[in-house]
Amino acid sequence: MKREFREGESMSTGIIDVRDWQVTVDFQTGNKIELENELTGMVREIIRNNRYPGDMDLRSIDWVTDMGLRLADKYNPDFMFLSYAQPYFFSAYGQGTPGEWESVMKRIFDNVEKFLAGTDFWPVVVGLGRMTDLLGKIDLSILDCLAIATNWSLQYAGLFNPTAEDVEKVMAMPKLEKVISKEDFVKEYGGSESFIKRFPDYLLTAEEGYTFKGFESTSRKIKKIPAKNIEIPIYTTLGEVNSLIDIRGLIDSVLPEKKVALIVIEAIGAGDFEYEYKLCSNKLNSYIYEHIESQYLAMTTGKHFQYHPFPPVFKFFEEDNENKSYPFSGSHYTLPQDTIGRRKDIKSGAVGTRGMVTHVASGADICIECYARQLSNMGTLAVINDTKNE
Amino acid sequence: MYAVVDGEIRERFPNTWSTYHATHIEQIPFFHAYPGSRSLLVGTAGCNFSCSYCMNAYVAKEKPENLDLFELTPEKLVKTAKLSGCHNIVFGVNEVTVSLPSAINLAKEAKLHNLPMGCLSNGYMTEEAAGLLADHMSFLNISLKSLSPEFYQKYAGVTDIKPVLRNIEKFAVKNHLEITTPIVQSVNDHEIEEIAKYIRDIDPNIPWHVFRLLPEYKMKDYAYPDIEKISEALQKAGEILPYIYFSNFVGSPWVSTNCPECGKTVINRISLGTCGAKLLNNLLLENRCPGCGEKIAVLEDYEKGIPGR
Ligand code: SF4
Repeated sequence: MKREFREGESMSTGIIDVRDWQVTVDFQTGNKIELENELTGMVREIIRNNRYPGDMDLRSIDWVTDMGLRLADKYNPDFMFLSYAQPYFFSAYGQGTPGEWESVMKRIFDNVEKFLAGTDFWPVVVGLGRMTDLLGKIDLSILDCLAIATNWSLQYAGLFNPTAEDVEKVMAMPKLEKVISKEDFVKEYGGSESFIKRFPDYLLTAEEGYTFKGFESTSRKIKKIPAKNIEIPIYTTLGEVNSLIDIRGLIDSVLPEKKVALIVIEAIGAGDFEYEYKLCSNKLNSYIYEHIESQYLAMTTGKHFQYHPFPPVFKFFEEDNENKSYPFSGSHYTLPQDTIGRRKDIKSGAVGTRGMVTHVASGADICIECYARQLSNMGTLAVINDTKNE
Repeated sequence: MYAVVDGEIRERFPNTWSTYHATHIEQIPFFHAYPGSRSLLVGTAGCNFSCSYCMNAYVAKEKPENLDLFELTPEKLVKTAKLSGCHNIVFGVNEVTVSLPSAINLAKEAKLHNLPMGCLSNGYMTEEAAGLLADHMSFLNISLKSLSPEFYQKYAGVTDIKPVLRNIEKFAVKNHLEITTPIVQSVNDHEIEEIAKYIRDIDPNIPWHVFRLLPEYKMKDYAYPDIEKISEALQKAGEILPYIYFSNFVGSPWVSTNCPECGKTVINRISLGTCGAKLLNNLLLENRCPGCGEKIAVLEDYEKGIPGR
């Protein structure tokens, strides 16, 4: 089963399902295409028959498992990536009623068990780190410069072209853990050219429990945010992992002889982790990963955050214009090619409820993800990448 | 929102905003105003309607005192718009009339810096308020939810539709106007033709955004609108009104602008879900179709050299 590519088309196809209606698009341009083959037919069928229940619906946990089982059955990948983001949504935006969290946890681990029982993958199960109560917000709107604080990176904010007075004001702000200039950051961490180019003049880090408000942030109420998870729990019998970037190497070392499932669960730390875990490092120097794309990419590429194209805070709006390719892939102009799923000698599949992070971070041949915006359920997106090995 | 203080109506939370961020104008949505421009989208909190399906209930239906808001002067917002390369400012997210003085003051400041200002509104306001908006906003998108007073009573929580219609007709004369209608399956989908005719009779050049209402908030148990059925009805309505768009579903083929004369696609957009879209390319040549030369009703930028273009 392999897609035939016409001239000018990208190597990826998107199939969007919004309930009772589907469209196929060239994934690079976003333009509608007509494409029918065995693979698209199979994927269409899988996503048509199992609708995403929504970010705040517990059944979305079952959805990941069910999609994963169907994909494993129909496509038989060597590597499977599953991501369960529901604990994050419930923790951040849920009612917090007694028993709610326990039922989320129970459902998660029941589902992981169900997936593993129904397949023959060797599991690598990772908890992306616990959440903590939101204690307050650091208001950057009082500054003169563009001070960006986004909802996808809660512990970090960035200043662009600050005045000396802005920097002085920031230094005096309570609950601020660290202020690092671009120059100092580059000296300490280095990084890819595109990362450094986009990096703010100053990167701010909040103390645990605190986040920022400023240009780009919204007023949606959030109850919990990621804690400072210096270490995160991991369960695997495949070998030792000291840092989250070692996960890639470990999986590489056993593929394709062994089939591996990398299963990530957001918003859980060692306290909620039901398997016998080891702790692995979730940081580089003073940078601690949050539940965002960079944490996923660190696991699937084996490279720390500064070697990916985007820093935790940057001016996305400057790049989000008609010239941007891959419109369904957030800020990405090209899809990362150094992820596990892109390995040429394996077949790979991915299912996740952290939206586009699923296809960006996995790079799997077939990715199935929820399509939700600000908790609104828009449907399901499947991405079929060049299947490489057939 | 307002209080009477010493016999005068005063805004309770002046210059208090729930968000300020940069986006592209098609996302808000405006399809015929400054295509491809970057907008500073601002909003406050509260609304004079209580729509059962409100997608922005977290700010529109929340009391301002319960939210973590920003205190920002008009000068600060205009400065931010310029720093982020925005070409215009739009009041959206919630209803503009709950913060009218703040919105007008912002529009005045924006004008001093050659930034056009627009807004989204449900259109339910006094003639005086509509006059103020008409004077200070360059472009508006008014939500016309139905032509039936019963719909407004049942789903928006207000008694009368007349002020909305009166104000739409007023804005159409003075301002760049776009109209948005949320479609609720088996509730107002039968009105498609009637609404198209109503808009055509005001001005056939008004773009009409129909959006597929997702069952949200208090309408969680309602059915998802049937895209095929609504598309069929809109296809027919296209014979009445030339600029009809259908969005709020990813991949919608209904978000590009076609020349009403020769049918050529003159502005290409892509739907990423939500009510708006994203520009792919604008083929207009001085607001004319590059195929047949037909004039397309688009509010263009006459002020050259403005950042964000
Ligand atoms: S008019 Fe708009 S903002 Fe107000 S309640 Fe209705 S949908 Fe929400």
